[in-house]
This record gives sequence, C-alpha cells and structure tokens, in this order.
Amino acid sequence: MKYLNIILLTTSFLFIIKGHSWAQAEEKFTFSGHVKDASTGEELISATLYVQELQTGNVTNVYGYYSITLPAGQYNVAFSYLGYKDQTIQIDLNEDIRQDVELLGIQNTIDEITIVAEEKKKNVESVEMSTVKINIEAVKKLPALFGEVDVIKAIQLLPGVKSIGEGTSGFYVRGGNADQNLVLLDEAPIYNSSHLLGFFSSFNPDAIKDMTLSKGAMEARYGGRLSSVLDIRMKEGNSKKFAGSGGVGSIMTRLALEAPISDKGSFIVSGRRSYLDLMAKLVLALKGDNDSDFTFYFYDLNAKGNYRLSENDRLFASGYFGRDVMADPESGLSLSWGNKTSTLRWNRIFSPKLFSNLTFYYSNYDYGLGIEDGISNIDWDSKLAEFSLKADLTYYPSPSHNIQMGFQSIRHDLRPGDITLIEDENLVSDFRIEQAISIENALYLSDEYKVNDKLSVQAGLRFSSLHNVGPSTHVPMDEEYNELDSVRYEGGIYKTHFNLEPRLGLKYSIGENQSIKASYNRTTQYIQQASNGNSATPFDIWFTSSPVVKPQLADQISLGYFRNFKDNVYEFSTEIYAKKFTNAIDFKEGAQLLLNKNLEGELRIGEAKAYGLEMMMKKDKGRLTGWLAYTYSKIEKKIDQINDGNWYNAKYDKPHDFSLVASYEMTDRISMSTNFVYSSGNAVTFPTGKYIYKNTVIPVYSERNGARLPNFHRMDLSMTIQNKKNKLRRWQSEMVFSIYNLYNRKNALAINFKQDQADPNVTYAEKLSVFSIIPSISYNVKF
Amino acid sequence: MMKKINIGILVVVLFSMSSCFKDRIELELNKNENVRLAVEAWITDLDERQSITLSLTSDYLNVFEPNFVNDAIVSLSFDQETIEFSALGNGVYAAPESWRAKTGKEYTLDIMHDQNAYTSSSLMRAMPVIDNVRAEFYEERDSIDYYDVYFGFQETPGEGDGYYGVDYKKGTADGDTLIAGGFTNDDFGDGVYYGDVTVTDEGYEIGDTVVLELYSIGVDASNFLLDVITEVFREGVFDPPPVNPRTNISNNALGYFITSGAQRFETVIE
Repeated sequence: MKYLNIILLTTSFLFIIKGHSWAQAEEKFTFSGHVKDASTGEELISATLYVQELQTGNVTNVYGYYSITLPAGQYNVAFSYLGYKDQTIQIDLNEDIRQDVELLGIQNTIDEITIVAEEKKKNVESVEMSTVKINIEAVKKLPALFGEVDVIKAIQLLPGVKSIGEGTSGFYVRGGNADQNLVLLDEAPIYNSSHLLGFFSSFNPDAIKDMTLSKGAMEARYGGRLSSVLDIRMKEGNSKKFAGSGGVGSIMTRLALEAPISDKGSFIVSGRRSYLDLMAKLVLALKGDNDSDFTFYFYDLNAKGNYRLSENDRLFASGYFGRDVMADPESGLSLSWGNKTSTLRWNRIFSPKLFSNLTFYYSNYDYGLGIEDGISNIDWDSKLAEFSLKADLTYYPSPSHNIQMGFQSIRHDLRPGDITLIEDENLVSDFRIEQAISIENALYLSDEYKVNDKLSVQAGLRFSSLHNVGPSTHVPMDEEYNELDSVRYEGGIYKTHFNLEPRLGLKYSIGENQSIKASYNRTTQYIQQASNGNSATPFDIWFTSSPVVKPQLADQISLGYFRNFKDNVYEFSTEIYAKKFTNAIDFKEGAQLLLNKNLEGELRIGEAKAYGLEMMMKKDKGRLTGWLAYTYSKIEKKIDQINDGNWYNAKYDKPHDFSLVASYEMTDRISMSTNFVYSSGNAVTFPTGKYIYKNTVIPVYSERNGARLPNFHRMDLSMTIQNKKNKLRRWQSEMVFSIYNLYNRKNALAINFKQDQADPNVTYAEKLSVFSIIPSISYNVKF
Repeated sequence: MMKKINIGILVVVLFSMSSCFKDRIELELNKNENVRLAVEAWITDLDERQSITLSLTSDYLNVFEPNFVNDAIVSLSFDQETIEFSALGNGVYAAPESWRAKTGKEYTLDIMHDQNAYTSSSLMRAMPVIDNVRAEFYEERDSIDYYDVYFGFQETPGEGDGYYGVDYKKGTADGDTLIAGGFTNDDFGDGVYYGDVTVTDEGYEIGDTVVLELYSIGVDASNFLLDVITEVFREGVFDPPPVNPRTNISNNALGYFITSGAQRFETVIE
C-alpha cells in the first residue's frame, strides 16, 4: 500500500507541474464567474460551461463558481444545467473576464428547451463515478409516505443504496452501515438525520438546493466515514425578490420565506412542525376519549443568509435546529432529542484561478429522558458536540486541471450519559459516563486532469489523524477480549492514529457516447455509532477510536461502463465494486450498549467484505422521466466471537434490489409519478430450538442472520395538479394526491417469536408490519 | 433506576409500534439439529426443598413436549461436601429433604448425562434486609382501587450485586414465570439505600394477601435475566441481534445456575 501511495503522490505532482508548464506556453486569460438561476439568483452547482471552439469546458463548484483559462481569442461559451434553458455567450478573451451568467429555469419559459450536448452526456464525459446528483424538484413529485416529501427515501431508490425497514430513513451504501454515511448539511455533519424514530428525514425539501450522494470514488476533500457522503446544500435565499413557499400535509405544515438583503445578499428561513399529536387527540376526542395527554411532535428550522462584502468576498451563515419531543404525563415520561448546526463560511476569490472557502461549523446532537412518577425523578442526558475549522482551495491552472487542496480540524466532544436519580428531593444516585474528547485532522490534495480527449484522471491523497485528549480511562483487552487493568490517561494528547487515504479515478471514453471508468479509494472512520438494533434509536451514542479501538478502514475498487442512447436521452450505467473493511466492528453477543462505562469492552473486531453489481437506466428529459435500477450485492462480516467466528450476513444484506421510478407530465398542469420497489428480505436470525427456564420459553439460535424476511415489494402512486398557468399571477399552488403502498401489501418489518398466552406450551411466529395502504393529500404554494 | 429507564425506552418503542400490524404466520424454521442440554437450576436459602430441572432443547415452532432428562447424575458441592440430588421424574432432581443452603458459600453443580460432564459454580449472596413493606395506591379501574407493594432496602456495598423480585397474589401461580418479576443490579447505585421500590405494576385489591419474594442473585445472573427478557419481549425494530442468553454452565449447555439468598414476605393489602 505504501508503494501505491508513493505512486499516487508522485503522479499528482507530475500533473500539476506538467499543467503549469503547459499554461506558460502561450498568452492565456481566465474567464470566470458564477452561474445562477435567473429568477432567484441561486448559484447553480455543477452547471456546465463548454467552449465550442476548443471543445473543452468545466463545471461550477459547490458555490456556483466557474473558472477556465484559455488562450486569447474569441469564443462561444455555452452554459447549461439540467432543468434550465442553455445560454451561449460570446466572449473576446484578450484579458481576464469575470462574468456571472443567469440561466432560465424550465418552469419560467415556454420555449422548447435545448440542452447542449456536453450537459447531456456529462455522466459519460465526467471522471466522476459512483456519484448521483439528486434533483430536488424531481424528488418533490415522487409519491411519499403521508404525502411528505422525503429526500432520504428518494436516495433509498438508487442502486447501491438500501433501507432496512419500511418507512425508515436510515440508508446503507455498498455494504456500509448507516453510521458510515457522512451526512452534511452546509458542511456540518448531521448525526441523527431523522424525525419520528426514523420515519421522516430531518431535511426540509423547501430549504434544500442540491444533494449529491457519493457511494465510492470519494473526492479527497471528503473523509471521516467509510461508505458514502451525502452532501446537502441549503438554498441561499432569493436575491431578486421576496418569495415564499410552503405546504399543508397530513403530518406536518411547512413554510419558507426568502428575500434579498439590499443588492448584496439574501436570506431564507424555513420551518416545519408536525401535528401528529394534535390529530391523534382529535381522533381520540371524536371517539369520546378526552383524557389523553400524550404529546409527540417534531419541528425543524433552517435559516441561512449570505452577504457579498466585495466582488471577491462573500460570507454565508446558516443553521439548522430540529427537535423531537415526546411526553406522556400518565407514565411521567418526557423525552426529546435533536440536532443543532451552525455554519459560517467565507468565500474568497484570490484570483480568477484561485477560489477559496473557509468554513467554521458547530454540530450538536443531544437527547434527554426524564421519568417522574411522583416519588422519584430520573434525568438522563447525553450529548455529542463537534467544532470544526475547514479550508478549501480550488485552483484552475488550465482547462485540463482542477486542483483542490485543503485541511480540516474537528474537535469531537462526546458526553455519552449523565443520569441522576432523585427520591423525595434527595439525590440518590448520580451516574456519569466519562466525557471523551478527540481532535480529528485532515490534509488533502487532489487534481482532476484531462490527459486527452479520451482519458481523464482524478488523483488525490488525504492524510488524516485522530488524537485522543485526556483525561480519560480505558480498559485494554487481550487477544481473547479479556479485560486487563484499566489505564488512566491524564490531560493532553495520549493516543494518535494516522492514516493515508489515496483516491484515484480514471475515465476513458470509447467513442462519443460511452466510456469506462474505474476508481480506487481508501477511507478511514474515527467516530462510530454504538447501535446494535435493526434500526437506530435516538439513544444510540457515538464513540471514537482510542487506544483500545482502532480506526476502521475501507478499501473500495469500482469499475463502470457508461453509455447514453437516443441523443443522450437515455443514460445507462453499470458498476461493479468490491470493498474490504478492516478493523470492522460489531458488538459481542448480549452486548450492553446503554449506559455502559466501558462500552469498548462490548466491541468485537474483525473484517467485512462487500461486493456487488449496480445497473441503472435513467431518463431525465422529456415528459416521461425516471429510472430503472437493479442491484445485486453481498455484505458479510467475520468478527471475533460472533457466530462462532464464521462469516455471517450483515443485517442489511439484501442481495437483490430493484426499483422503478417514473414521472409523467400528462399536461402542463398535471403530472403522475410512481415508484415500485422489489428486494430480498433483510438477513435475520430465527430460532431453531427452545427450552424452558422457570416456565418461560427461551429460544435457541444457531447461525446469525442465516435466514431472511419475506421479499419486500411495494408500489406508490401520486398525482400533482398545479393551478392554471398564468405568468402574471404571483401565487402558484398545487395539490398532490399520494397513495403509499397502493396494493396494501403488509411487508414484514420483523418476524418475532412468541409464547402463546393461552397455552404456554405453544410457540408461534408473528409478522410485524408497519404500513397498510396510506392515501394522503398535500397542498403546496409558492409566491 | 435501570428498570425505569427501560420502561421509558419501552414506551418509546411501543409508541413507534403502536400503529403496527401483527399477524400470526406460518413459517418453516430450521430443525433443532444440535440438541443441547438445558439446565434450570436456582438454589436458594429459603426453608424448603431445593431442586433443579434438566431437559433437552426441542424444535421451536412445535407444541412443546418437554424432552425431560431423567437419567442424569446431579450433585452439588461446597466446602468439600457433596450433596447428591435424586431424580423425581419430569426432569426434576431434588436435594435431600432436610438439606438447606447457606449464604456466603460457593456452590458447584455437577451434572453427568449421556457420558458428558457439565459443571458450574455460583456464590450464594445474602439478601439485604427488607424494610418498610407497604401498599400504596396504584390506580383506579372500574371504580376499584388497586395498590402496589413497596419496600425499601440498603443495597449491599461493593459491586457485583444483582437482585430479582416478584410479587403475586397468594395462592396463584402468577409469580411462577421469570417474566413475572423484575430485576436490577448495582451498576447504577452501589451501596445506595432505596426507599421506594416496587417490583411489578400488577395492582392488588384491598383484602388481597400478596407474597413478595426477593432474591440476591449477583450481577451476572441479572444479566442472564436481561438476556432472557430481551429475547422474550423481542419486538424486532430496535432490538439487538438475537442471541442465546448467556450461560454459566460448561460444555455447551444452556440455562443458568443461580444461587441466591432470598426473603419471602406476605402482606395483606389494607
């Protein structure tokens, strides 16, 4: 591996040196600026610009910024972005030109949409693979549970992405666990990305501008998780006019307002609040039960503002605050949990070729549980806080090179649990799990190099480290996991882990509309979630690598074939991948994860392997859009002392997974959408025998996850009816009618085994399913 | 305290499952090919004859026809003394009628069956003194007041203690199953005095005679009970992976050898 790292490093620098000398060969100037939505002023991420005379181009970065350096001359530059009308501008490049370009969205034009070929076949031409950009507007049209648009559930329909239970918002990418996904909201990680115990995601679709999921071939600027990055960017806010959007649905109501700040900035504020509890009370009241005081609701708030300090400097401030609240006065239970994030960013354009961003963020996830029964009070608090400073530089020396470099430093502050028991106003017990502090650092460098018309290379290297900071106590274990004497570490750094993470991507074009791509990447994960259930709970805590727990590593190779048909209307892609996990963790049988002062003693270490085939046929243009996706995959683990040390299926191992997503614009006002999903059942453990202890039937298990739930399938349908088109009318509205689980299949979420209450000698299997057919109506407005 | 926290979590889980559908289904499971010895051994210092039960595991989904083991040799050793247990049928092996266990002693259970030897050891811990046993109002149902039994006790200082308790109406078999009772250990409060402890939320009427039994089982046995409860009350969504409850019996046997100091009270709800 060291040998490979040296090759990659050398290759990267060679590219830079070669590109630099090429750039000095003749007089060149830089054409740069931002690409924006013409109606809102929102910057467009990954918009394409294509210089027709030179048949070269580039794409905008995550701030909508583009830069391309060309020989002096006159050029026609075409800008395009999916869902927008393309625009070609003529430039006379005899000096550096800075020009912002505004594209008109499809909904704002009645002209026939034409999209330049480069945008159409970006999937074929780009070196990027294993990456999916999610179109938020398309997601909003998909049928959804209770009619509530959920971006995470849309991701679950993509090849290589699996869910573990119906309606849940966790996702599993290419054999990775749910905690191996880095979910970023404006660069701040979200540690619990769901509401309502997993049924709805934390992300308000009205506040989101762009989402990109990397399943592999991860860029060097990303790190800290093994399996995927879901990079979510919030809208900047309308910089042209005051505007708003919102909706009323079966479960929640939402509202977003946005407006310019003078002519130099804009802001957006959006919020949602569920009213499941109010509706439940109403239903109970109609049934004559007015006594129920059970409360359960969630809300979230997104806010973001940006301000241009100068032509080259721009500040962004954004925040997210979401919370779930549950209270049952009858049992004295109160519980709440939620995320908070704050992000401050400073974009600086040092020169037309050099774009920088400096980010500071704070992310917090906490939960609290209180039980008050009139005699004793229990308070349980747990918190995870993270501070980070991050700098990214993008250098565009020539059309052939995009060089990125930067660093990030993160402070993880984990307070897993603090419980107090008070009886008759006296403190009886104060149980505290020690705080854990660590610093995670990373440096990265990468270059995307277009070697020639056919070959492109993306090479990168990330150097990461984790430093545990005392005071702290750890209990080392021997090879048989016997606990040894505990070791107390005092203040300062007491343990450091280093890792090199090479990233390499190759694209080779075969003819005009097809290419093959390959990638290798290594990722490291220093912080993981202690979750042992089928689904994550709000109580799951996170823990870091330490003197006892080694960082987890994953090495993934992918090979893909990309082809477009019918004038790039249809995009076909297929990828195979193989992934090896080193220092993979699982929890010992009967592990106690809650309120355990020595959680590390519950871990068992081993290896895991995943491999699979993914195929996708996609159509983004025309009245009928959508995709067909099929995945075959396997994920197996071999962990000490689990399943007698033999390989076993991971719980999210579902070999076959098929999804169909289609939207059809019936008229200018009416569209219909459908999803159909079919997959193997989750791997589960069923009992093979039983015995009795004190008149209680106890199951006996043999192979872990050796059985499967029944196959899963479901179809959903929705119809969206917009109000009559009228360019002069500011208020636009639509009704969305959804039917979730159209043919009312009761898919098994789990199968449990019970002792018959009437005849204790009888045991039986019981299928647990969550949703039947669920019709819903939502009303959405924009103004 | 842990029990209350577990109840809190259970409420959350039950809420999430409240809209679920539960259907009894036919399912084909793998057969119980690897038949194992199951040992139910819980020896106390109560003034009564002590016994254990031996059986073999059977297929899960069949009607349970206990496959009792009646041809084993069972003995209990302590302080270089050995007590032979005699087979009474239906898998039951009993100590001599007059023999009584004593707290503070380490007991070793030996079983010989089908030319296989099984063994286990357990320290019998004393049950702390129980005080202030009383009935307190629980709830009103159908115009009848129901009461719970409360008590207090000084948890034994020093880690490693675990407790099992159960209360039931005298003359019923309500306390005969493991899941009828509750358990805890000293992980969250070593040496603490607990003044307001109740084991079950059954609710008794005025005039009922309630039996309260408390056992000092040690932390390891309380973890065995936690394993059992986890498997018995499995709901499938947030549960950990299914595993066989831990055992302290050698040679791949199942079950647990528990020894415990115990106290039994009777109180009339007034």
